[in-house]
Amino acid sequence: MTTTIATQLALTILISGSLFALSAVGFTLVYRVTKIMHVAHGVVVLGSGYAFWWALQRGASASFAVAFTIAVALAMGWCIHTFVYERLRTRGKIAITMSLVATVALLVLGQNILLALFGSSTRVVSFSKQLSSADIHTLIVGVSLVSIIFLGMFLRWSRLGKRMRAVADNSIAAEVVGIDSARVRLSAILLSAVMGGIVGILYAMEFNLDPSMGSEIAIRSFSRVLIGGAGSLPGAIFGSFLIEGVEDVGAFFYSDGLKSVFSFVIVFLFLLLRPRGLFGRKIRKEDL
Amino acid sequence: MLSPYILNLIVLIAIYGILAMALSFVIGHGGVLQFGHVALFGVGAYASAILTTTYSFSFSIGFLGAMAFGGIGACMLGMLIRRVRGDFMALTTFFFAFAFYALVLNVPELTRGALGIPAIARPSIVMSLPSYAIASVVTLVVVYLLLTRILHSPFGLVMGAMRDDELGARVLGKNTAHVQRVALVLSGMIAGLAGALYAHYIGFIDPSSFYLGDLVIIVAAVVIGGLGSLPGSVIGIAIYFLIPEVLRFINIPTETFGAVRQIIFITVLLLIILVRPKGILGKVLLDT
Repeated sequence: MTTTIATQLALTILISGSLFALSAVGFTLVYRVTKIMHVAHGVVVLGSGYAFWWALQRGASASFAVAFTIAVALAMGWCIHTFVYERLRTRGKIAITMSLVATVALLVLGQNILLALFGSSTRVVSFSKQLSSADIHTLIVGVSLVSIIFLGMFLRWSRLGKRMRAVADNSIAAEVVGIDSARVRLSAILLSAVMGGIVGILYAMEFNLDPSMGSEIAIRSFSRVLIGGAGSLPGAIFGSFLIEGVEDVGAFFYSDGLKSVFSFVIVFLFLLLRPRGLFGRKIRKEDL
Repeated sequence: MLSPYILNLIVLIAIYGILAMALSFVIGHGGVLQFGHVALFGVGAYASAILTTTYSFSFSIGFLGAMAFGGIGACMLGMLIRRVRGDFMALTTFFFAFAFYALVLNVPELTRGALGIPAIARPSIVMSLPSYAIASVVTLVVVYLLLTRILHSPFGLVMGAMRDDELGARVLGKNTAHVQRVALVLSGMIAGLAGALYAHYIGFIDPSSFYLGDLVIIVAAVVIGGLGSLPGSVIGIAIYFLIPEVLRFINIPTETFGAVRQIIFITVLLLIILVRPKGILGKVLLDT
């Protein structure tokens, strides 16, 4: 009996952990390359979930719905980048503070648009006819882990990935050696949007959609990034499994409602004792 | 005599105006981006509500308690952000607001959780609506005078210097960390007072009154009104409360009304950030 509960718990941790690790990785990528805390990533994920639900609702086939969702995610990423982030960037230093206000505002704006379009009732994507829940879980873990590994390989070996790392480390030096940093930033945000779209689809298959979930996704991704260390991809992944583990074990032994309280406690402990996170570099003044 | 409808608007603008001024004091004058004030507002509201209903203390104890707990909350927030900087600090305060929400929801013994606290009485001297309106406006003016007074004192000048050039202020031997903490605690006490005014006015509070929606509205009001301008923040709040007057001419279904109102206000915020980052009455631009 105890072994089944333990396996069950491990499975829950694995499923949510890998799903939110993918979301946290998208968040980190944008932060690393553009230095903007991409809180609006939460609404990219949630908006993709809704796009997927809407397409299926309209009788689209699963593969078309996936393509449509990724297109919507790309469009959202592009709009956020072009109309807000890049425009703020031309303003110089003030932009860093204002971009944070803007991205939080975008999160709430997106949630309200979803609320106005689809109402406050929860939406459910149902695949129960075609797929068992075990299939869905395998799909979530598989697709998330493959996407993360793909991203890691992409950043390490591809030309564009190397450019992204160059801009992330020092955008001025990257410009000097001839890298078009504006284009690299755009590709980083689009790549993050694609991953957000994937998270949105998987999220819609596993959980229910409701307009207020955007902020929860954002805060969950951010807490994972914070624990893992700012801008560190392995950190985001480890942070994700650590938080998920504590949340699920805590929820199992105490109560389900206290789940989020547990994660807040860990994050606050990290902030007090090790603010740079598990894998973060020592934060220096000139990095800010 | 003014109609009850207008009086209601005046009370709400005054209460949220006090809150926005408290926030403007730390953002615009202290130069520290904060999202946590909605939680301090909530702390004040819950403190006063619990003290006067569950423990049946007098109203003066309730209001003083609200200020004290608002200050204590701000102290805790100050401790959390002590070791993180820049945008991570701002996002940590964002986190603080979520942690407060999760906590209130999950300690039903004290806060009745999602059910909220009903039947919070008004003090007998301000029982009627006009007297409550007068009392809130008087509080608004007193808070305004107090804050202006502080800003013109040596303490306030150090705050201004810190906002414009923190390193420079430190070179001159000013203890900027201390000034920042004191300013935050003071602002937290004022936010707590606004919370108490809110709780006793509405008569019912639940966790959702102190969540993401209000968080963005007060930050937006401060930015729209202009950083570094206390009256500007009140104007920003007034704009938010006057939006429904404009919307009355358009037929909007009631269930999406709140969403449309927030969409409009946040769009205004984004336009202000992109087009006129100083806001309506702003004097300063926030650095880093």
